[in-house]
Parts: sequence; structure tokens; C-alpha cells
Amino acid sequence: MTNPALNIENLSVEFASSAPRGVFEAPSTFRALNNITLSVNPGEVLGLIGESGSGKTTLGKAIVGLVEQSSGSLVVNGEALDATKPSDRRKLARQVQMVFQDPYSSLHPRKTVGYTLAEPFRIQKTAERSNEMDLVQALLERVGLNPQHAARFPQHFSGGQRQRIAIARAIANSPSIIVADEPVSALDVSVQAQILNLLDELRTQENMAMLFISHDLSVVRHLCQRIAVMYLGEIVETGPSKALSANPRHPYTAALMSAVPRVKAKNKARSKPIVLKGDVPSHDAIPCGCPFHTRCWLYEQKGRPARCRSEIPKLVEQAEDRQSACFFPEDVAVSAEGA
Amino acid sequence: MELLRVDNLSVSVGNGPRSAAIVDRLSFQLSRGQCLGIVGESGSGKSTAAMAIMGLLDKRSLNVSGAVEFDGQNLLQLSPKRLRDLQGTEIAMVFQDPMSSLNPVLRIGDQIIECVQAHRKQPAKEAWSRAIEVLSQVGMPDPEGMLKRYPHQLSGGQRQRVMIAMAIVFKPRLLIADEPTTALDLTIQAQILDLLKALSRDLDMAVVLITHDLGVVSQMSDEVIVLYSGRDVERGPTEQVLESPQHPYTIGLLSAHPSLDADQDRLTPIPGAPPSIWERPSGCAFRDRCSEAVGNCTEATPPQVMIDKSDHLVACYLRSGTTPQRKTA
Repeated sequence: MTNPALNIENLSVEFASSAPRGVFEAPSTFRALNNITLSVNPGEVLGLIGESGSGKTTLGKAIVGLVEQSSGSLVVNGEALDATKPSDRRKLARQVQMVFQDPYSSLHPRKTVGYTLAEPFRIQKTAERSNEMDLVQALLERVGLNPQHAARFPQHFSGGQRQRIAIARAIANSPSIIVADEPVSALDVSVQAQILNLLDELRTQENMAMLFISHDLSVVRHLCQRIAVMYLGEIVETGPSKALSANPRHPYTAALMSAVPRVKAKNKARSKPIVLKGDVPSHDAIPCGCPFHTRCWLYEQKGRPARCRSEIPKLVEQAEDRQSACFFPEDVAVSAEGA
Repeated sequence: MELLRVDNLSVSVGNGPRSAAIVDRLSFQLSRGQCLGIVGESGSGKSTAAMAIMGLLDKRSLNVSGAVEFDGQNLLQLSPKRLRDLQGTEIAMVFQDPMSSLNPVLRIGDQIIECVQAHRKQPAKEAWSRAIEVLSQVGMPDPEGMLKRYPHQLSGGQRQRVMIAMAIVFKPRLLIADEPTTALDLTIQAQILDLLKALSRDLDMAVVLITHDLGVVSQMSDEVIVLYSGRDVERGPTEQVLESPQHPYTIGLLSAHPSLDADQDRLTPIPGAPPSIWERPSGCAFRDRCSEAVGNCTEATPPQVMIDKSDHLVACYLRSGTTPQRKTA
């Protein structure tokens, strides 16, 4: 059996929440990520969705080593790597690459595109200097840009083209997995589709694995094979993307899905969207019991069961390769219709 | 009853041969209680059109022409003082980013009261109770306590509620909302859209909703205008336009975004990127990216034609009935 491209176990990240009040007081911390376990196989795109503050970006950053993990393990392509160890840093960068949201700030404005794309080869010493330019041109061609444009600067390219350059940089050394943090949300709708198609090609043609972080559910459903839903630093549901979006097993997923503004389908009455009350609680006041119960519609519908307030639901295996962290996964789909 | 009538509104920058239109001859009407959606990508001129209607554009650097008639008076020709009397009382605006439109060093209460007292001389006490009133009207929990907080203590959704509260202090007849939910999370977006809908109904307020999201338009607006490169390429009753789009750009936009309910193998993107106003092609601005472009398209801006004698209008030669000449390949 082949190794998963990425395997994370019990990953937690803690941040200091405020400066200590006195000299002898330890700084208080809060958990931005709480015991995250997930794996991504080669040739698979895992979509990570959730609202701002849910920790999806922190998880992406923890994987590439941009934030320090406080506990847990990270295995990339069968090799355990510790991002905090300097000796592992270069190996990690070889195996895991990131594509950022804003292509206007993620490319060096004063280096030519050719220079930017040659850097991965120089840093990892994977190409001869004489060979470099050919590789750069091949890269540009692979992401659908004119190879003659290597001498240009980022400012000469449009947003969509810059995102192509950022993707080219990420795939230069054929990493095991790419972490793409909202790679299309800064782009116009008509251009988004071009980038999504490119990412899908990379997956099918090169068997690339990807962690795709986004808040746009329809994009995630389209591109990803599996989806993980995050809420307050925890994964609350995972599953194959089609099944999960059609038939959620967690009330939060159901609410997210119904909140997507859709273009009305012909002759089809819209089911009333579930509007959640209030905001996402802050990290230093995470509700006891199920962290979602304060905003949960199913909790209200069920007559506020005490269990939701006292016990923390675990992510439990369900049928059809799915997991849900809700005590009543079976009731979500049934009740959402009538909600 | 007709409340707002925009007639051939154009906004251009520069003069003579070096000028370019940001908004090109935009016309529409809006009645009380109605919602009009204006959709377009970045650079399509949708925000500039909103600012022009609101009278917020700097006329020294931009040329604004045409007419914006609100309740019978042309806003473009009002004296600055008269305009200021209308802004914030009769016509109000909600902006995209609630963090940068609130003053970070003033408490919420002070900002709402400032807004109240800017238009009506009244004692601070009365203004304070009015502030509590509007905050509860926009569904803010604990409105009294909220008045004493600073913007950074509020969440994004709460800040946007404060912005909406400030906009409806004087029960305006027209609200211009420029991407009011773009900076917000999905579940919060649903709350704010719900709120805007309820307010529009309760106050009989007309809403101009500017967005790039066709889903939001489908949910909110009665009519829709699709802007491309400053021109309205298609317009009509929302349902009709979205169900049977006629302009290749509208069709492209709808098929470029994946749907949550249907499976597609591959998305059909619109090739290229929107042109900048300086590089707009002659004739139809969309022709460089259009797969159906014909000979006519290069010549002149296509006129708007009716579809099936309805309010559904489209500016495209292919739909104009007169058989266009195919480009000889």
C-alpha cells in the first residue's frame, strides 16, 4: 500500500492570548487547533472549510511549518518531519509547498518571474545552473503561461496569471503535497474557473495531493474529493465531498450548506435557509460540552439535551467513510428539511 | 411610485482623446421598496456608479454627466449643502468593509450620535435613546452595552450591523449597499441579508445592492443589471435573467462558477481577463473574450434589445434579430 501524502495525528497549536500581567505569571494560552487528525492520499484534494477563526489557515500554516505546533506528529510521504527542527526544515520545504491567497503580495515585486521560479531549484539544489532556464520555461508552459515571459516582473501579469506563477513555484520540485490557502478568492469569478481547472489538471496528471482551504463551498465541492469541516479549531465532520454536501451529518455543516446563496433553480422551491444565531464564540470562551451547542439549531429542536452541554462529542466513524462529531448525526439531514 | 431615475449616467477620467469612461451611459429606474442588484467583476464600474449616485465622487478629477433624479430633483446639480442634507437622511450607504468605515478610536455610541446630530439638532440624551432604538432594530444583542464599546471589540457581523444602524437612523427611502456581505462569513452573510430584506420591507426602502455574487442577487433583488467594463450588458427581472441569460458574458459568469447542487466535470472559464478601461476594445467591450463574436461586434457598441417584448434587455448583436454577419474564417 502506498503511503498517504500527508498524515497528521493529534496536531495542536497554542497561541499566547495575552501578555502576562506580572513578572511571575505564566502567559495564558489558547488552543487555536485542538487534536487535529487527518490524512491526504496522493491524487486527492482535501477541502478544508469553516468560518474565519475556525483554524483552517492555522492548520495550513502548521503543516508547512509557518507556525509552531505544540504537540502532535506530521508524517509526509512516510517520513516523520518536525517543522521546528532546523535540519528538517529544508526537507519539509521540498515535500510541502504552499500557494497563498493574494498573488499580489506573494511574489517578489523586484525579481523577475524567471528568478522567482528558479529559486526552488537553487535552494533544493535539484538542478544545474545551466539547466535552470529550461526548467523554468517548462514550468511556465505547464501552468499555461508563455515561456518567453520569464524575464518579466510580476507587475506585468494579471491576478490570474500571478496565481499561475505562484502555483508554478509551488510545483517546481514536485512536492508530495500542496497547501493552497484560498487560492482563488482574490480572483474574479471568470478567472477563478481557469485556476480551478489548472489545479484539477495537476491532480489528475501528476497525481498531486492537495489541501485546499476555502470558504467557498461550491468551489470546494467541485474540486475536492473529500471535505473536512472545521469549527473553533476542531474538525467536526469529514467525508466524501458529494455525500457530505448532499447529506450533512453535523448541524454546522448543514447550516453552512444552506447559507450558500444560490442562483435559483428553475421550478424548484428553495428550502428555507438555516440562519444561525450569533457569532462564532471567541477562543478564550469556548462553550463547555459541544463547542457548537450555543448556535446549534438541532440542539434547540431536540429540546436542549443536557448531553450537548456537558459532554464533548468526539469525531466518530460513520458509514461510507464519514466522520461526525455530533451526538445525533442521523437526525441532521431529516431535521434540516423541516427547519 | 418611481423614486430614483438614473439617466445616461457616465463617469469618465481624463479629458479629450486621453479620457476613458469608468461608467458608460447607465440608466435605470427604481421604485419604493424595490431592490435592484448590480453585478459585475472588479473594475466593471459598479462601485463608481454607486458613488456617483450618492454624490460622493470628486468632480474635480472625474467627469460625471447624465442625470440622477431622486424624488424629482437632479442630485448631480444640487448645491453641496442641499446634497449633504439628503445624504444620510434620505439616501444612505453601507460600505463593504465595516472595519475601515468605522472610526477605531470612537465608541459605537459616539459614532451613531454624531450621525444623528449631524442632521438634526437634538439633545444628546434623545440622540442616545435613538441610537439604542436603531441598534435593537438591526438585531444587536444588548444595544445599551454595545454603545460603550469600541469597533475592535465587535465581530465583523456586529460591525456591519452598526453600519446598517447608522444608515437607517433617519429611515432613508433609498439605501445603497456596496458589497455589504463580501467581508463576512457565510453564516453571518445569511444573517445580514435577512436583516436587509426585513428592513427594506418594514421601512418601504428601496435598495441598490452592489455585488459580484450572482447567488446573492438571486436571493435579494427584484431586478438585476449586469455590468461589464462600465456598460450594462444585460438587465431585467432577476429570475428571468438568471434563468435564461442572453448575453455571452452573463452565460459565461453563470457557468464559470461551480454549483452546489449539480456536478460538472470541468468548468468553462471565460478566457482572458476583463480589460482595463484604457485598453477597452472598440465596439462591444466583451468581444475579445467572447466565443461567439462576429464581424459587427468590432464596429459599434451594441444597442440594447428587448427579449420577447419583456423588460429583459440585452446589448448583444447576436440577439438583436438582425442576422449578423459571421466572421469569415
